[in-house]
Amino acid sequence: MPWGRERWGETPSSPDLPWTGIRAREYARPTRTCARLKIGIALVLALLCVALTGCFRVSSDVRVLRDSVMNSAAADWNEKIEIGVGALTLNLARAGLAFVDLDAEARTALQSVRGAEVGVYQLRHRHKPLKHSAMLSAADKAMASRGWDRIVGVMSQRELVAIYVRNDVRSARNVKVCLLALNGREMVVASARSNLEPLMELAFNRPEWHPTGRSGIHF
Amino acid sequence: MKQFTRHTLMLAVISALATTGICAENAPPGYIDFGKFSPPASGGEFVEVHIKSNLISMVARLAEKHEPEVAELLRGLHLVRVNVIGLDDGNRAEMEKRVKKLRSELDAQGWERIVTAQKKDEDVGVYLKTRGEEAVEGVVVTVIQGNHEAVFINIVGNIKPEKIAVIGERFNIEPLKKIGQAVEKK
Repeated sequence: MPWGRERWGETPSSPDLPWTGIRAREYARPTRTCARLKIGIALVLALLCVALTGCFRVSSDVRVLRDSVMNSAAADWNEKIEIGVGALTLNLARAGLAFVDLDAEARTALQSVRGAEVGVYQLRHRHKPLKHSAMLSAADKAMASRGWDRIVGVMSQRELVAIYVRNDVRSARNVKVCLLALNGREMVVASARSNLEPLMELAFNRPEWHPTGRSGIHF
Repeated sequence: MKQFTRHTLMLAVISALATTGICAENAPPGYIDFGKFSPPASGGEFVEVHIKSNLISMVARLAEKHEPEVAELLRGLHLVRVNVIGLDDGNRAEMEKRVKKLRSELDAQGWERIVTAQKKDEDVGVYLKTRGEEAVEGVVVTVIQGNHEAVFINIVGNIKPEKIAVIGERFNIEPLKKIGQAVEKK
């Protein structure tokens, strides 16, 4: 390094100092890398926590369903509760419930759930009657654009119920269902991701499933 | 550049039309388009169930172990559609007209009317689309229940006739028993 272009901390009279500086920078580099790595790990862990716990918020699918219905109703809604739980939270809950004496069927049902979200809302003011068919059409349109099919729709004077499933559902081990239920002034938007296999096993083992315990269907 | 855009647009329109044509052609023989229903203005009952093949085959896989006969029947199904529309003064005439039109369309398309039940205020019609004696490709049920409701059911698939009666017996579903018996008599 020529005279007059020394960096901070270097003394021109000492020929060994440039090497000391280089070494110092080399020692310093891993420390910076370590810091970056730590930040990276923290970010990944935070993202993982958000993804796995559900971070107690509802997913974009539920938000879209909620917003489509609210916008089509053109009314003000109060949020009573909105919560989402992911795999990590549910696993923690399951671990906690391992020490509780729980009905076997309830335990199976709990074990089959992989994630759940629910939002409950209430109409803020007295409002002219809601147009259920317009709300359902808006919800259908919004959900269809995200790859959801409505499998059930029920409407009456006070109630509206719609159930959606992903149109690419293939495996029963990971089925996500979205639900919209409107009863008078109260609306519930929910979604659940579940393994249907244990639930079906449960259903098949119930006495109601067997011919002796089943009432007939006539018309 | 303008020509390229025009050609691309033309190609897109032709592809869209071709796809629509293919879709219309690909509709299975047992499929009947009931059209769109509107809920009764009085706020009466309105139910729509629309279950496609992916969901049906998933349930069939689940039922395989415990109910192999049900699973076999389900595997043959492509679509189940049910519409229940509450009747009021505003839509009764329209629904009756629609049922009448649908029934004449089914007759014209070679569907067989296998169950006719007309009581004082109830009118039930069950139609089958068969492929020879080997399979039922579609079932259509229309019900007008007096002042109460209109029901439209379309089951599309490749259903073995003998399975219909078995399922009817197994689950004690009277309409399925009737359909099964009617098919067996043929």
